[in-house]
Amino acid sequence: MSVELVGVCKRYGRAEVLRGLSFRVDAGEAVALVGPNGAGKTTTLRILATLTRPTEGTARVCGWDVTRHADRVRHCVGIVAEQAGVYGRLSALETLHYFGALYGLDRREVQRRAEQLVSWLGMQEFCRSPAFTYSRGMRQRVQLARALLHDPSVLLLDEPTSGLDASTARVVREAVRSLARQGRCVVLATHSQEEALQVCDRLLRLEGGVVRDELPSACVP
Amino acid sequence: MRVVWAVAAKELVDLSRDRRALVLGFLVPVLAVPVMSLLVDASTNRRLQSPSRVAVVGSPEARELLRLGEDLVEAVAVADPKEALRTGRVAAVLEVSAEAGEVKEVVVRYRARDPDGLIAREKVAQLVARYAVPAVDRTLRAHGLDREALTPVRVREEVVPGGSGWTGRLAALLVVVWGFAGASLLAADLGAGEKERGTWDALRSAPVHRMALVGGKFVACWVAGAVLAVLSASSQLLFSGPGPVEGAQLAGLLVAGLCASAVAGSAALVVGLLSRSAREANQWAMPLYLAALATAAGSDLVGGTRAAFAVPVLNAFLLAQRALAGGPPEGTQVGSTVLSSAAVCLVLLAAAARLVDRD
Repeated sequence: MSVELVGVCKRYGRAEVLRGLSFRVDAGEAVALVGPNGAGKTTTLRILATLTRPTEGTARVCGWDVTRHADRVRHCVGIVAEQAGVYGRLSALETLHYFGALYGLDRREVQRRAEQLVSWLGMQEFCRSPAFTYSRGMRQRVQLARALLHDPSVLLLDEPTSGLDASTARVVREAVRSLARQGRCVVLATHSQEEALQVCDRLLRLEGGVVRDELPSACVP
Repeated sequence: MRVVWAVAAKELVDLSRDRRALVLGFLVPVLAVPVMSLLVDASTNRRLQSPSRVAVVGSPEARELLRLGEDLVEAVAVADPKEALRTGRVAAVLEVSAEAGEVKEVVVRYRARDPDGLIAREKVAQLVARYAVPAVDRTLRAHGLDREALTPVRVREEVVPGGSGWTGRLAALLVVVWGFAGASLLAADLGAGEKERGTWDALRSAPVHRMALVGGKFVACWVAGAVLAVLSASSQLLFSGPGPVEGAQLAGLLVAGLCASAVAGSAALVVGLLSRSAREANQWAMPLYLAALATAAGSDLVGGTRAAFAVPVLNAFLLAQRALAGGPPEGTQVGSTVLSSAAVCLVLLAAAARLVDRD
């Protein structure tokens, strides 16, 4: 088991965003959280990435509780947020080296992983230019590379293809499918049921902070 | 420590590539302030050396008085002296009254907070002395006395090099204010700017000790603030300094700049992490600058007591002032400044580290 939520509630003041959310995702499985705005998709990912704490309930990643063992969870998780920015005056390679240092990787290991990711995500042409020159698609690839740099077991993606052109979106989807096949646990939050069907093994339909339906993607009409 | 250096290096590289920040943050303060002080000096000298414009009202004997001081005052013909004084056409109005062909009283009217008026008052005093001295001499001679008899105690002046003067005080103020401003402007951006640019969550999702993360950002702010403080003070001293400055005095200045920028950097990091945007952070940081300025400006009120050296920012200003005024500051003053600044920094950085994981 890679990700497990049991009765997770999250309140911001009086607003209750999650109301006893429970589900689990195993290694090698890609699961989509689909639902309308305000369903709780992003909050769920943020809890799993230790960016916010659940008000009630427990969430575990790779067996570690997100509240009590946040640091261990962070080693296991890579996240690509929807509105993720990049450091405009750093190149993609410099950003990867920076995060490599933050994740405690040695320089040679960072170099090796960065070269692999640059090649795999087709970033060779722009990886040495400052990021303020990048398009939305280029920035999203940098985000994905940054999230995968430390080889995480769990990948959390929030609307990863939002605002991308068709060909860049296809590159990102293929990358996500490939990562799940490599044995990683992928949790994808998306508005698009079509994207969820293309990428994931299972769909969890969230509404009002709880799971309304849970279906294998093959069963979705 | 690796994380601290990685974060600090990244922030400094980022800053070094920001041309606008370099120009606005470094070049302008370093060049503008010395240029400004040179202009102020030139303007003050011009006022002191050229005759003050005055309107004269009263007896014809005033002409004799004015003739003695054409280098001091210039009589300007005006229809309404009061209005001319109010509007600043003249720096002062002289009302001269005379008896038996001799000037007996001169009333000087000037605006209380007008530097030109104050200068005019001094010049009129000199003018009246020129007029009165011959008359006094005549009276003394008539009584068989000379001027020496009226001055039993002589005052002899000997001027030695040293003292910081206003330029030194300005340099001391600059060390603190630019150190404070440089560190706090960058710190506000490093906290709130990350949120605004959408890089904050990626940073927070890394398995990094929060104190190391905050520490790295603090080091970057500290370096930027200290560099700015040293550059601005050096340029000020170079352009219009109080003369040669010893190594120990420079060390005192450097410690003052480091302490001010350390306190400012850590305080602004807290502000930056509490804010949602760089703009909001800068709005909150404005009272910090004003507080620093007010503290420095009010240093004369508290003097150099031991307690004053325990107050962050104020102690940095006092230390810089001491360093420039008359040789190296005392060890206890340096120790007290460093320890109190370090203590405040640690408390603020611990608060900032807690704010990193705030929802």
